[in-house]
Amino acid sequence: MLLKCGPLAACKGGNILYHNVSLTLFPGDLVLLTGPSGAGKTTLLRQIIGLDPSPTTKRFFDGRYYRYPEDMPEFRRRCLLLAANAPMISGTIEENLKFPFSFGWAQDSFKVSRAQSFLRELGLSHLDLSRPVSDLSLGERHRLALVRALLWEPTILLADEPFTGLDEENIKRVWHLFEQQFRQGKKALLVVSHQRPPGFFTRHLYLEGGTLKEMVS
Amino acid sequence: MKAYIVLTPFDLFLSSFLVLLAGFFSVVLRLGVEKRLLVAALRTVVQLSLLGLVLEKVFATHAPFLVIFILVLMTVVAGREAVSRTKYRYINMFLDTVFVMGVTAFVVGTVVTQVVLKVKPWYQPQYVIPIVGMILGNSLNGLSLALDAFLDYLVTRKDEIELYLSFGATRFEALQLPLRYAVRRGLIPIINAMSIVGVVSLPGIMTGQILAGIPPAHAVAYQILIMFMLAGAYALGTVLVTLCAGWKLLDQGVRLATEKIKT
Repeated sequence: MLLKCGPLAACKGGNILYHNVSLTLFPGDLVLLTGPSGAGKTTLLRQIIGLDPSPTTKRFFDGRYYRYPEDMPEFRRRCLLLAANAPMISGTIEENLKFPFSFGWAQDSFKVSRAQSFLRELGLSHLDLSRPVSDLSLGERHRLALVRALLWEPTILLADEPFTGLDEENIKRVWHLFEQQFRQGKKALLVVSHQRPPGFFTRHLYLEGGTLKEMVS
Repeated sequence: MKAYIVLTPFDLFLSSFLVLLAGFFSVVLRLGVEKRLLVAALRTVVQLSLLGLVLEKVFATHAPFLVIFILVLMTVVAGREAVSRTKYRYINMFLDTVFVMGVTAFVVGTVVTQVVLKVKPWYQPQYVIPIVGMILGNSLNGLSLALDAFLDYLVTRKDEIELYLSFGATRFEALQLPLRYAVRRGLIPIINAMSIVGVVSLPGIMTGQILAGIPPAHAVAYQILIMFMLAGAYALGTVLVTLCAGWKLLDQGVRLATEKIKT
């Protein structure tokens, strides 16, 4: 077991979204999480890394208990959220890829050659690193956010709608990269998406009516 | 023997024609501000006359507690005013602004009155009250600008801060951009003021001193002291208030609590 996180509960506007939900990820897991819109998939991911309040949740990661709030920076360093709206800081493409490596919890340093190889694989090699991110199209921004997440080499990636604004060809490339990166050793991937990934995945979870169900495919 | 011209009530009556001129324009050009102008002019007369009466009594006092009481009262009023000047506010923001005003006035005021001027006795109201008043009035300005910019940043660029947090940024790493942005915004007025003072603008205080018969060189010395004092007050006020706000709004240092921010 790589990650065990729970219990999770959330309400919105007086309605219970879900209650007593718990998430477990195993090494090498490629998990698809689906559910009707408004079921709380995004909230669930945000609660796992503690961006939305969830005071009773316990997080066990790689055999260790991570306390809230003290251990959260370290937890987030290893369990990364890829937000659905591909947020960027104002500045250049390079600054956007580089800034996480300036934080105290960063374990590696920024390598331009690695960044360029990911950009190439996602069909972004035409982009000059010194261009401001405000120039990018929506699809380019989403792929850039993916490059940033992959460069960071998280143990677990929680990807919220990573296929937004991508054509079929690019979706295939992204999934290929995901398989390469997370279908191995002590790594795992959780993807929230309304469409089935174009390749192999290990498990399918379904969030509806306040509970998280394991689907048998 | 007095080196300056004392103004009589009649002199002030004559000068009131200048305000009436403004009212005349308002009527002729249909600006619709003649009523507000009249009220404002009356308030100026009443408030300043009361201040004169109070200050004369206070300046004559030998009770340090009375001076301290007045300083605390001024601080609370300034703290309240700062809250009413920002677009967004958060729960108990008033406590933070009063606290920051108090610390700023205490630190800068102590340096100026006790270390530089060495007033005797330490509470001598003729120096202490106007100086602290000036510190409060100016740091109020910088502080509300900085706070406004800081809260606006947290609301409009929430995604950016959460992006930092999701990559494992600590409290200070996540807040570095909004802090820098807010403090810079808060310091602009005093930097501008220090740059143009004496060239474009002749400060009101200095003009007043020169009119009251003080040699220009002495008035200049006081003005330099005042500008430096205000720079210190601006810096301390803006930095402290954004740190206080950041401390509260970055919940336990790991989560941006925008639900605490109200318009």
